[in-house]
Amino acid sequence: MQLARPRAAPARAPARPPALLTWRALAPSYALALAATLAVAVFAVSWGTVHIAPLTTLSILIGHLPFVSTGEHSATTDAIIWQVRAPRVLLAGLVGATLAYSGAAYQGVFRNPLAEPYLIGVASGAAVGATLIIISPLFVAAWFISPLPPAAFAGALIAVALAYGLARTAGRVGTASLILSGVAVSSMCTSLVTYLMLTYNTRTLAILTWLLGGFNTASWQKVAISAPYMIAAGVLILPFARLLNVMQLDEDEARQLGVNVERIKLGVLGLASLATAAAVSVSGLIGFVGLIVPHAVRMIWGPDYRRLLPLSACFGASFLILADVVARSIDPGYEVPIGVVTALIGAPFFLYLLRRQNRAAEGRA
Amino acid sequence: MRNNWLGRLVLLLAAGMLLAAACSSGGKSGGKTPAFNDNPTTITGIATVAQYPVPVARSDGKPLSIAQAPARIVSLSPGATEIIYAIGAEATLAAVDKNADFPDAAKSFPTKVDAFEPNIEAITALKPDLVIVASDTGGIVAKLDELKIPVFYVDIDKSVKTIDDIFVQISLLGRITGKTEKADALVASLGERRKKVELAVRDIVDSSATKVYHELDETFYSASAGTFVGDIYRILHMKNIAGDGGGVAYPQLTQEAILAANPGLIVLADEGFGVTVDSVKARPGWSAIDAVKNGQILGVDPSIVSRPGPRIIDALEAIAKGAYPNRFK
Repeated sequence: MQLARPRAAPARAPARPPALLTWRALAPSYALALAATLAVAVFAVSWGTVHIAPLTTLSILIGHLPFVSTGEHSATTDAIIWQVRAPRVLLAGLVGATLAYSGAAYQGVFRNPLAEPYLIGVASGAAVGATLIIISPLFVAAWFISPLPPAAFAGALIAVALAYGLARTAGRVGTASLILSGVAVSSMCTSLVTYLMLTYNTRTLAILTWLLGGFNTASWQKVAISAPYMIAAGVLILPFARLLNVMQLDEDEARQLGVNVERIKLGVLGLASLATAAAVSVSGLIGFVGLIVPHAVRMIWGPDYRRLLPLSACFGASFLILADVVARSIDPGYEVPIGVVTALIGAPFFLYLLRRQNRAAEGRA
Repeated sequence: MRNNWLGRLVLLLAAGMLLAAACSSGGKSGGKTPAFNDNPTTITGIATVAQYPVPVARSDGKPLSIAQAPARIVSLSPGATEIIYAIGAEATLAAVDKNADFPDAAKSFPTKVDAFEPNIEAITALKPDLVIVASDTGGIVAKLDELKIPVFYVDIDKSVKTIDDIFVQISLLGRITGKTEKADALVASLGERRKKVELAVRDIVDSSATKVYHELDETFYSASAGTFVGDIYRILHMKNIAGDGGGVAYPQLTQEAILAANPGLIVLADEGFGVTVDSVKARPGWSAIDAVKNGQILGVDPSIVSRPGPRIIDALEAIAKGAYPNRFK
């Protein structure tokens, strides 16, 4: 899936973003990526176990727009397209975009290629919140809003705040100590979840299913409660792109250039964590996207964060939507855990990119 | 971090699937036996007097021969525990697992062990002369084999695929504990009750069969035809929309497949875990399903329907009465 022309960046020196790109010059690649993502989404809605012609699909989708009527469709077909597939595809797209741009942001702040949005406790914190709800009598799906997503969201934010607070000394947060405190908070949460899972073992399957993640229970309600965070954080994180570029030099150097490094860290990590918490709360823990997609985008389109953030979002959305299509159609009628699919499709593609880049680097040397 | 999660979780998943039920049974019986009484399974012809040694076909193919009546059984399976109580062999129990909740005496049993993460030391310390294992979590079977502790290992997934398999297990546990007569009487009376249900639904043909969706949890895990739960629907002449599960005993269905199949009956084995008849009705898009339109949603106690013990016939009767109220008056 080539979203724009490959290897557009001019001969680039590692870690030094090209200086000549203006926002205006970036616009076409944004537009192209967005269009490609939309095309993927439309394809995904029309594809499924139950065969529904693409034209019928479009007609049903358009029929649900306000003030438009496209005639009657069977209640089942309408429910499958509008209540099941449409929110499922939209949610997968939003979550994929969020994990990918958050991953890019985390990698930028930590200047660490292994950074991913679950690094400082979002995932394990959310897991604690979700698990507590699943084992409690509160877990009554008959409520207007299931208490599970809010609890997972709260758990994620508490864990990240805890990791951040523990790493903070004298008003500064070293990236190394943040990673360490994040790992510590994560393992604490993980063991708590494991303990709860074994203690309340009649609920083990429910907890595992949530942890493994997926979009089988996607609904418009889940889209409605999570999309505002994911979209707003994505938009608000974009202005940090230039500063993230500067930060790629060296933290001290960036400071000397007048960049308020601490504020960027708090702002970027805060936004990315908020968005990831929202994503995780409605989809569970889906691995790989947040780690690999930003790298893939970087390999194809270069390291400039003004391009990396939005293109990661588009690429992540398309990737997760397609992974979900595979997850629900490999064995028609039955689900395959989406984490398995993201890793199975993603890993070979990533290795291919890695080899291609290494060869290109050898060629230049 | 993710790897940590995945590694651990995927491993646990298989075990987790079984956990809703957790029990075991004796050897294999025919898959499509029409009725227990007409079926020459391993049980027929067994002497009513306890005879040792009793051979057991373990799920891993290893031989097990029980030379004398055990006096200290550790049951890691709630289903087997129920059977042992039902045949009056509870005096042989040294410990039951934490999920055992029926009968009340099992629930309040003084010594309990964890079947989900079995602690080999705790089990060994109980000096058991037989350990009943329904799913081999954490390699417990191999560890017990090493310690030369006899393991009654009959896997709930591999070897308990029909209600007949449960009957075989009742009979087998009867012979093992020296309660042959009581076990055979129990199997006979359960078989009798099943027969009644079979007679009441015998005129239902495939073309008029009700399509049924059996829900194990709110993410649409279900029970395929190749399970003792699926056997209930075979007996009731219903069409289980989970089909053969794509080779998986307890598959996860896609929501759209459920809507497309349009079941006429929904059976909730997760009622009490947050799912209610009303919450199912309120699911977006589900109003298009016949079962929802006609109010054919049935809650069944998961500890009865998901556990291969004597109460499986209670589940059969409850579902039969709920689905065909006119046939059972």
